Amino acid sequence: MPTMPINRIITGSAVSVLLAVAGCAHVSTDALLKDTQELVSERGVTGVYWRKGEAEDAQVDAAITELLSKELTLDGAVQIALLNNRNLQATYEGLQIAQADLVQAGLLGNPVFGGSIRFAPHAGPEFDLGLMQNFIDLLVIPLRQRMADAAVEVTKLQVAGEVMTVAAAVKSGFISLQAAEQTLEMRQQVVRALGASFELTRRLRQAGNVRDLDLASERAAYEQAKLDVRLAEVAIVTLREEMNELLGLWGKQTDWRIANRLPELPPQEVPLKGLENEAVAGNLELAAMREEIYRRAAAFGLARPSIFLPSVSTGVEASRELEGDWLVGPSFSFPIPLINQGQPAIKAAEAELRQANERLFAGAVALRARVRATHAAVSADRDRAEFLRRVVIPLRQQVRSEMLLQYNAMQIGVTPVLLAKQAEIDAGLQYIEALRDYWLVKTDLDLLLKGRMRPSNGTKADSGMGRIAKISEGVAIHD
Amino acid sequence: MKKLSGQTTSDREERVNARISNRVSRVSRRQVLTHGVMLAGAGVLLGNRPAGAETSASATHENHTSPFEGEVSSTQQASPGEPGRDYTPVIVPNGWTLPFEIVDGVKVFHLVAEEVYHEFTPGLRAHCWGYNGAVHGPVIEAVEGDRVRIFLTNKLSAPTTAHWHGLIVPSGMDGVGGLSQRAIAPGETFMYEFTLRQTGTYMYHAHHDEMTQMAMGLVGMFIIHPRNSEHPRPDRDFVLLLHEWAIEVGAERPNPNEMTDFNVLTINARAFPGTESLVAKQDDRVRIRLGNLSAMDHHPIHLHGFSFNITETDGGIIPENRQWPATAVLVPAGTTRVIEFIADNPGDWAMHCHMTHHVMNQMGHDFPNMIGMNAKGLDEHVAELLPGYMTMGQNGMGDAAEMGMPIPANSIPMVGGNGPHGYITMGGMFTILKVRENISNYDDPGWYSAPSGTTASVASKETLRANGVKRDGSSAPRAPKRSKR
Repeated sequence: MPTMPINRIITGSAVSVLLAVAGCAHVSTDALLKDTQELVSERGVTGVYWRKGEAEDAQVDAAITELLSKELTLDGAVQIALLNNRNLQATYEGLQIAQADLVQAGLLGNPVFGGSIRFAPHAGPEFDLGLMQNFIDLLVIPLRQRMADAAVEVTKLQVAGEVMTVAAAVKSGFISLQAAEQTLEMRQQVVRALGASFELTRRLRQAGNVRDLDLASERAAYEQAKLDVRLAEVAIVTLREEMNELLGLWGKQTDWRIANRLPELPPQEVPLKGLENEAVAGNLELAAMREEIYRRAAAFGLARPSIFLPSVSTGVEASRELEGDWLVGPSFSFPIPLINQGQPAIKAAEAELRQANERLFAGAVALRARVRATHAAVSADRDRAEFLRRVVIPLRQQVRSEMLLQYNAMQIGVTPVLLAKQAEIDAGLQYIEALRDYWLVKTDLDLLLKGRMRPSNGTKADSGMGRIAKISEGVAIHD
Repeated sequence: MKKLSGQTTSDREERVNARISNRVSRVSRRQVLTHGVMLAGAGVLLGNRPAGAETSASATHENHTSPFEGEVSSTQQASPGEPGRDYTPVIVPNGWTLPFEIVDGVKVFHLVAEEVYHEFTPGLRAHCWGYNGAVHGPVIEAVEGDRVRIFLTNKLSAPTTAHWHGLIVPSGMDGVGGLSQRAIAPGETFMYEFTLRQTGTYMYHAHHDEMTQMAMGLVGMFIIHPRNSEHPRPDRDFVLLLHEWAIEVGAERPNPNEMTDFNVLTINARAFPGTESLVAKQDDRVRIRLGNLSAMDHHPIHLHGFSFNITETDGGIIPENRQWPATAVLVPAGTTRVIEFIADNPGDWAMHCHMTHHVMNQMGHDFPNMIGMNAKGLDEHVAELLPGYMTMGQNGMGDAAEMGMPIPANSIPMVGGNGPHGYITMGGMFTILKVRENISNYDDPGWYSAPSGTTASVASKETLRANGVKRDGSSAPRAPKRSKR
């Protein structure tokens, strides 16, 4: 929108008034970042750092190199991502942009956001349009500031949400990589078992004790098992590169190593009771949606928009954003202190507010459903892993050791015993898969509890959350 | 070895004298006096056969009431024969003889068919079916002319019967379930009664669902001594019953459905090293009665150290000039064979079935052929995946048991016994006849100490040189080359 031509004298006085009014709107980006950091540290993530090309960047790089030089832990990997993931850094810049907007809101004659405020031209033959515009601006600036405030809040929440998502993606990638390493080890063991059987048969063939047919059969099984090893190796490469992408690493920095064992199942599982409320209370997207509603209400000049908008259950801990209860109402009318607004505009504004409210409600319902579903998946994967570890694997071990006794008693050859060993390893592979699935879906649950509505990109499609995402489509944040 | 009842040195001398004088025993003379002509006639029919005389069925029918006719008249029955007086009781290694009661001149025996948890040799036990708390059933021992009454109580869960293998009895006493009699239901007690009208080595076994019940162990020996015999009583009279079982390694019950792959071979239901040795004094007359109730196999029983005569079958005594000399006697399934010899060769003598698989304990037949395989480095490769693995069998089965590998519980695969010169790599249907000079009783005398110079050992350098023999075998003649075709 073009800047209005303004009488300099009037502008000067107006500006001085505006500056006084707009003074409180001049918030620094450091403060914004600090708020964002608080948002994520409440959710268990620390170490957010905004690269601005200053001296501290070099210190951060040194810290990253230090972390990479030793065996990389999960926390270390998350730390590196927060410091080094350039997409995340780009997101932080959004704060700068939001701040600029905020400052803009305090300045005269700035454009209004989103085009959601409409001014009807009010012309009188005696009025000076510029003056009128100034006057309008004087009235509107507080509104604009409130809108800009809300927009900044939304941005903070969005940035916090991105940080949580990246942290969760790093966790999922880390778990998947550990599982892939263990899987490779076991596939290699299978190849060694079949290789031993093949070697034995080869020597028996040399002594003339078995046929070429027997030798070919053994060799076929052995060579075929090598394909599984190759697939496992490729899987590791892929997962490593996904981690490199998340952690912003390239070149020499990509030869890090991690512990190649998945963590064991924790002794107890978090109960479902209270999880839904925890999720809804802390959800960043729901909070952003509430901010958005505030923003729109503010755009319509509502002083206390909270009165007119429906409630969302928050459980024990009320969000600090909410002020009082939200009333439910199919329709409501409220005075919009806009000069010369036509009825159609008012109706449209009402509808927009109600619409945003419905979306918020739907979002909360969807979040609750996802929390319940994800928790069920966590329990199921836990039970599966536990059963494999406690019942199936010991039985397979028993079969193998009993078969070895039969071999010692010279009742069977060693090949059937090695096949029993292979069955034991297969049960182990099932366990690794179940344990991995458990940790992945648990990460998803964590993410839901700590602020996001949906799993991150790092989650495997066939994991728990991938299954759940298909159940209910998400609610997008409307602008 | 139990001390033989009534067998003191003076008794033996007396009997030797009796043989020389070829007199009829005091007992038979008394019998002639008490029972008169008829008995003497019976004696001619059944027992007292002078050497060379032939008896035939027709002679039987000419002179006396047919033995196949209904009730047996009490006049054909003799007073119950007494051990010692009328016969020298047999020796049953690892087994026992069934005691009897005399009730109104009838020898009364009581058999109880029941499940028994039986030990084949230390380390292998199984749930089998036997009689009176043991497997196999006890030896039933009587004398020609005895009237015997045998009660059979069935404590099994299945119906059973007893058939008297080789005995000539009334049709209804023959014991074939469904044919001769109703099968004995679980919990019932039946009575068999008949007069013994023959001598020899016979057997008894279940004859209802035989495949199952005999395979489970319901078998035993039935010995009938002659009433009057000119044949000298042996000094040692052994009874050995041969059998075969299929017991999976680690299992505790024989599988009666097995038809070909038997892995436990027994003498009196024991497998070596669990077989009690047969002990004889040098120059003893030794008789060994062999019965075979294996399901599917005949057994050529080979005795080391002696040449013996096969003197009897389950049909009767073989006339002396028709007896076969042998060192191995084939005992077909369902038959008995008796051998006799003088134990004039002191030492420890192996006696065993000569089917080589029958002297192995629980050998498995799915083990691959490892003979001649180069196993270098293989153990480490496999042991990484199977802790404790060791390659076995490249040099045969000899050292399998000595390797001491952990094996399934309750099994004796390839197990043998410790001998005086090392491990004896035999098992199953294998026992030892120990012949000793100068022993005062027949307890196991331990291992034989061969006189010096009579044990095969490493040839010394001097000996080799004196005989022109090279130790590495290079001085030995080579097989002539076959001409090219």
